[in-house]
Amino acid sequence: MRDTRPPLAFGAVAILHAIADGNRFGFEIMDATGLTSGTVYPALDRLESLGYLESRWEDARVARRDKRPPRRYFDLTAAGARALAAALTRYKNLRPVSLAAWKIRPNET
Amino acid sequence: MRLLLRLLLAMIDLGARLAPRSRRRAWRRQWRADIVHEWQWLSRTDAGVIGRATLVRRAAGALRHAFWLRGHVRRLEMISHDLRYGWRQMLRRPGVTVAAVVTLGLGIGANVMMYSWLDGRLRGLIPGAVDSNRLVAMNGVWQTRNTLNTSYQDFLDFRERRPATIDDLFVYTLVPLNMRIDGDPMRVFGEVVSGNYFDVLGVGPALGRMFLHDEGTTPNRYAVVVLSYNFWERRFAGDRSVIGRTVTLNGRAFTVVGVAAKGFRGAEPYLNLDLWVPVVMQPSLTAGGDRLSVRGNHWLEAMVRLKPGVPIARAQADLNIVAADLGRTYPADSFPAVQLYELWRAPSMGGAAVTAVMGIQLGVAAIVLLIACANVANLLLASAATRQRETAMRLTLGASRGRLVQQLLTESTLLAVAGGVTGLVFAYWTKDLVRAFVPPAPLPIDIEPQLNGVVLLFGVAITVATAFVFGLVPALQGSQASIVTALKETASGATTSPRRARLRQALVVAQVALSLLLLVSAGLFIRTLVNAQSVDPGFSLRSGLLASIDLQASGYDTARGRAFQEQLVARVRDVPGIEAASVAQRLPLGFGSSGDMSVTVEGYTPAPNEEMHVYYNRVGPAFFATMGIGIFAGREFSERDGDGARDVAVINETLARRYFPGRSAIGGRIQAGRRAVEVVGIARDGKYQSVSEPPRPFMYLPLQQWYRPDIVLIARTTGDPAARVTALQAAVHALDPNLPLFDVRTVAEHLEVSVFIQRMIATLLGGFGALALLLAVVGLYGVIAAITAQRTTEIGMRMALGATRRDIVALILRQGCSVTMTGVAVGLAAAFAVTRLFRSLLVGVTATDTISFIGTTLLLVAVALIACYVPARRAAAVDPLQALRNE
Repeated sequence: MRDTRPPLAFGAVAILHAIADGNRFGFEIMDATGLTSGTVYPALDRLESLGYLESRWEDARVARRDKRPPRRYFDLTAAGARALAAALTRYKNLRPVSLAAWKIRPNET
Repeated sequence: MRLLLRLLLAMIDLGARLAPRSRRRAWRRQWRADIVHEWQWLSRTDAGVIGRATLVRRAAGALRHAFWLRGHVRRLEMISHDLRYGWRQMLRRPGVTVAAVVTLGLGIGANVMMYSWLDGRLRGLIPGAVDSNRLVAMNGVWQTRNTLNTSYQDFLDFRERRPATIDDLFVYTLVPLNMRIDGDPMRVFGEVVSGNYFDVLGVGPALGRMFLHDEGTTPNRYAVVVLSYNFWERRFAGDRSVIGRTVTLNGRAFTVVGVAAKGFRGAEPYLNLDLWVPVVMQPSLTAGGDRLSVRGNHWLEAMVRLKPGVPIARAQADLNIVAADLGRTYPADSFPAVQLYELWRAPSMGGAAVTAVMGIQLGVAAIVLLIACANVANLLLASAATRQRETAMRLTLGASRGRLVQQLLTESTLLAVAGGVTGLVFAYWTKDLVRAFVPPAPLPIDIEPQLNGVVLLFGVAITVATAFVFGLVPALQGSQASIVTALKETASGATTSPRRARLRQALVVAQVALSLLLLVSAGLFIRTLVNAQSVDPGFSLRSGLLASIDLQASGYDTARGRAFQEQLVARVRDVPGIEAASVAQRLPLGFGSSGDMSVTVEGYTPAPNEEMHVYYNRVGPAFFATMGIGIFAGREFSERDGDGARDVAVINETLARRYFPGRSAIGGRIQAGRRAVEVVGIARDGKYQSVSEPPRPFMYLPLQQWYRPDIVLIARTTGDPAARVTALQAAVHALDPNLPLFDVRTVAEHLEVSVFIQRMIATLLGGFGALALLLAVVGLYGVIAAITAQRTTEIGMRMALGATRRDIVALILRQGCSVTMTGVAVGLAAAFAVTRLFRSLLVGVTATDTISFIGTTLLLVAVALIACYVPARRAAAVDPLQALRNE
């Protein structure tokens, strides 16, 4: 059956992208996306209830070794990966623009 | 530094109270872990003040997260809770649920069915064509008319000089053809089309090829034909070797070159065509000589394909430049302007035949939907009434009104979805029923209902609208319960608030009124149908045979044709069982039986802007005697009114009165086209095009003087006309064994066709009127039953105090009657207002026909009484002891 869920907003795509890129928990994702915590945490829950993400608690032994509580890790589900791929195709057009008119060279950040 | 961490963690501990209980632990754990981790990292890297500020800012987002979770969780929980609760409610009252679902199913199903019928037309789709939305019809404009056809010469000029805003244009027209495959004659319907027809429509071949350029442009040389897929399957059993085969069309051999793609039925909606022939073959196919070279012969429908994105007005303006130029160059033949029409309102034949019905159809569908919706609203109101205590309890326990409305709306949505599914199933089952609404017609009318995505979407939209609009009122009403009164009442004795009872009764009144409106309309059309069959069409011929003959197709030239027609009539007259015979160009009350010409009458000065168009017919000798049309003054045509004799005409009373006021019309002269004719007789008025038309001026011309090769043979018979068919055919074949007689029919069958539109509307309204009546009765029953159920205690009390069962029945019936009668009053008023809109379609009944009004009202009242009697009986059967014990 076709996926009838609405296409993702840009913020949600950024979050899925960050997670696919190896960022696993809240603060990392904020660092990667530049979004605020008030956006990222609800978005993570929402994406999880949509079935795009799944979360689990960090292995307690690892956490104990680092002297801190276990964190909540997020991972892409298969549906999330598909949604991300679809969204990236949609946003593909955003990549190759020339900003030379503003005196900005490609790859300059 | 550690202090900061402590503060932040304390904030998280406090903030945890904001998070919903079910997620509180997880929330706290997640945030604590993330903050600790971040803090550790900051401590290691010595990020300084900026890093710490960032941590604080980020940690503050935890509160927003908690708030968000609160709403999120509640939304999820509420929806699933409401759904489960609604489902249980539905199961708890299976009677109400089934009634609501079936009602909704009928209402939605009826609309989906109607819409599936109209979908293609409304969206202007040509099945099988590419991008139909860029196709528009083009018609000529002349004086007050704007639906005129195009001539072939004008088409060529338009095409050559087509503006940049249009892609292309093509012409076509419907032609009935006599076809022979291996000797078997049959009647088929095709279109003659310009060579670019398939290209512009975007239709490719399923087999073989479409027309080549030369075939589409060289007059009368390439006899080729493309079959429709449907026809190919039906007549040739899908035989692929059909390409290259020869078939005979109107006497000429044509080679099959291709079969059009599956699903393409022709350029007209509602018509299912058999084949297509290049328009340049017209001289071989239709009567009336070579029409291709005559610029003044406007016989073709034109269709234009716009360039993408071009608005219709712009294309029309551009085409009008060409039209104006043509009008200047050929002032006598070309129209000075054109009008473009979107396909859904194109004035061409297939659409026009059905368009008259369409307005009524849409009205009917809307009314049925309204009735169904009122029914559902009523059922929901009823359930809200019995749930007053529950509602009040929830309000007392702190539920908000919005929450209750949401709960009730969820329930109505559940009902609507169930109803919508049922409706789609109904629509699917009854899909082919549509064809039953189409009586036999002399055209290949074939309505193909589509159950496509758009139709489904339409069904879903209706379902949602129903759920929302008619769920909202009961929901708002239901959530309004007065806490104190409701809680005071006992469960069974809960009386309905007067306001809600009024609202429910108003809904039933509306239902009764609407269904009465439909029933009255149905009654009018059924009476019309009865009357139309007995209406005086102006001729008395009832027992007779009719047959169409085309001499052109059999290779007769004008001189031979004239001679043949004379011999034919003489020969047929001698057939035993045939009393009289004649020929005519067309018959009164046939499909498309109109032809008019511009005339001037000697001694009559037209008023400014008066258009002197007169409808006419060309008829043979003894036509009036054969048809039984009275001649008031003068004489009718005889064999002496032949070619070369004085040009004469017979006119009808209306023409005589209008154009020869205060003087004798006999001997008067009329300029008809390029010829002047002398009036020799005045005939009785009659019906010419439809049984419902008003009297109109009409002129008869002698067929021998105004020759036509395509004629109708009319034979008056004694006894059963069907028994004379063989003798008639034998008489014709004795004259010419190769001349096909097509469309042999009795006069009775012909008259049947003349009430086609009325029959269609009567069938439609009858069916839907019955459905509306059923729904209204279900609604009435529901309301009376619910009111009665709520009055059980009261009834028990009355009976304990000495009321008899008869009294109780009378009590309930009185209540039902008052609701019904109010509905009847409103419905009659509405019917008086509405029925005059289709006055022009009625025959022999006024729009306020007493019999239709009273008859349908009685029917409705009778059925309504039965609907009330059932709950009344049940109420009367109440055991007073039992009823009071519940108190």
